[in-house]
Amino acid sequence: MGESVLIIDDDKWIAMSTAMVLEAEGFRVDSALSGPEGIEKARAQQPGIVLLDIMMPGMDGWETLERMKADAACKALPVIVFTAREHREGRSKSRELGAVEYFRKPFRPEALVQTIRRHLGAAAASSGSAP
Amino acid sequence: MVERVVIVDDEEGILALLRRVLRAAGREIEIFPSPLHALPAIRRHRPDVVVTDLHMPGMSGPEFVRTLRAEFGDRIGIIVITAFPALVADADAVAHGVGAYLRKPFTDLELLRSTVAEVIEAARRRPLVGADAETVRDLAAARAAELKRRASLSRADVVLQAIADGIVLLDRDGRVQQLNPAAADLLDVRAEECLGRELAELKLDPKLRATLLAPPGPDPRTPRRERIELARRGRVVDVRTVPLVGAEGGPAGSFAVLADATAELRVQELKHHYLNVVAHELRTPLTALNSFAACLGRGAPPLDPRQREVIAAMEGQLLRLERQIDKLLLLAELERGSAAIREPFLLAPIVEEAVAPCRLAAAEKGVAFALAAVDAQLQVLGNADDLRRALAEVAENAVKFTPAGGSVAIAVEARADEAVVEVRDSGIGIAPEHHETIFLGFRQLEAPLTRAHEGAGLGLSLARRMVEASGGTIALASAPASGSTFTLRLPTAAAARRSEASVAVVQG
Repeated sequence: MGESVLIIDDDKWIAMSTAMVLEAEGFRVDSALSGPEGIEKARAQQPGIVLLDIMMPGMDGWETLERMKADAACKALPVIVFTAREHREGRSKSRELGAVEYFRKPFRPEALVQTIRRHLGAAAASSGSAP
Repeated sequence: MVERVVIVDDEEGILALLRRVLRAAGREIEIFPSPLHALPAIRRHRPDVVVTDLHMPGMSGPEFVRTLRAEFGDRIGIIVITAFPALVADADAVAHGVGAYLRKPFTDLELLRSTVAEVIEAARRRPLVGADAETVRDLAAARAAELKRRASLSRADVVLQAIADGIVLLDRDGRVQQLNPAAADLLDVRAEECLGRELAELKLDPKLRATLLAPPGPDPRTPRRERIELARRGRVVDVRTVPLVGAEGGPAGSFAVLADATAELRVQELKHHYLNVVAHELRTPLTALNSFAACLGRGAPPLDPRQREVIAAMEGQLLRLERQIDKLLLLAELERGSAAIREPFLLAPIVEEAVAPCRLAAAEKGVAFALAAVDAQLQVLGNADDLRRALAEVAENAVKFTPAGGSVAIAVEARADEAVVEVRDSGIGIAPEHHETIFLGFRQLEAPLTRAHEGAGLGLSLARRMVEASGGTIALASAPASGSTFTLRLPTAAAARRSEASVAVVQG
């Protein structure tokens, strides 16, 4: 069984298309269409990696990220921020808040897959557990 | 008979003092802040004596004296208050008909009283004018001239009152000579409270006051421009100041035009925000499309060559769309004039990186591509990312408009103060009437370039803006069917150091 990825994005087409790419690469994928739903799923499912959109109505990606990092049940999960909005300080802000990567949309699907693999590898190496 | 005294001065302290000192039984004293205020009252009821300052808002002292003489002959005694009686008495414009001078500051109040009494006496002793026909004609002509002058004055006043820009006129002591309603509004003051007072004393936004009082730059003929954000009310004001030069070439004050740029800035911000939202809205479906296209090529059964070709073309067009959106945003960002980074960097690797994609495109297309060796030590000043992108746009443009069998050659030359990058192609060339429009980007409204080649869009406009933001220039030499040469001139780091050094010398 492959590693699991949780996509948090309010745009269902992004969630669906990204899931299709990742599933074709052998990942297990679930998605959440809002910050609160995402945090809940992250706590319950403990995915290998979280893809997090920034521009979401209600609780935006930054707040979602802050809450996840403040939550003992999901603070250790690696988070990749991906956003279509130009954020001058987005890269540094995502790092400050504890994300492992900042990705701009649109992205090359292969590049996303590679990045996810790299971070899953790093997480596996640091926790010492085999995939 | 009651003695009537009119005092005209814009300094409240002097007015109060004169009124106190000159007060006497059988004497009426009226005070006015300026000649323009005083004249109507003087015409209604002729005083025996007018005591006036020389430096006042609206109408100068000498002009006031001339007007009084023209209208009333010798029937009004005139006393001029000045710090330099000897100097002023020599100037005949004033000397004519002035009964006495009072030295400012007043030290001898008794002298002041007696001077006023003497001038009143002298004026009363003069015979009344009126019977002499010639004098009457002279007076009528003088009055007509005066009316005409006042009419033109009021027209200038109307302009000052109605103009949307703020106008502030300072004399050489930094005192406010003119301040129109727009200026009063921007400065958040009342015009009548400012006239004649020193600007330094007024309650103004500190940044604005500093700008208005700043000494002129090295070349006094060039207006200084500054954009100031006012602390209060969140307003942004563009200030242009021009120093005024007196008759002998010395400083004579300054003239400032204040334009409210708040609305303009707000529109720019809105445009920027709007473009960002649009970009988000466009990029989101593009992201999904990229992923869907990537999925199409996978899985079973395998695709035939025709299907693979279609998917590759789709991906190519998606990439094109993505680049267009990026360019649009970058151009908007540059038009907004975000803070320019200017740092020294090595040019050679930037040129290499910039032209690498074009080398490939040229090879595929059958265009000879040559980059002459670049001096590895050559440093230029600017934003390396911007200049890399600008060079890439120019090189890409050259390859795009050069047919197979042609050539593109890039060479970098180090000159004394600049690095000159030449991008020469043997392509279709550009007609002279397009030499400017191809750089205009969004403003390229008419006669778009030939569409034989797609997308002669925003690239060159971006390139120009980025080069200019780094302090360089970009020029084009071209004619149809004989190729084009784009020449980028970039300031070198050495030149910047030298010019800084020379500025320091001037200031020292």
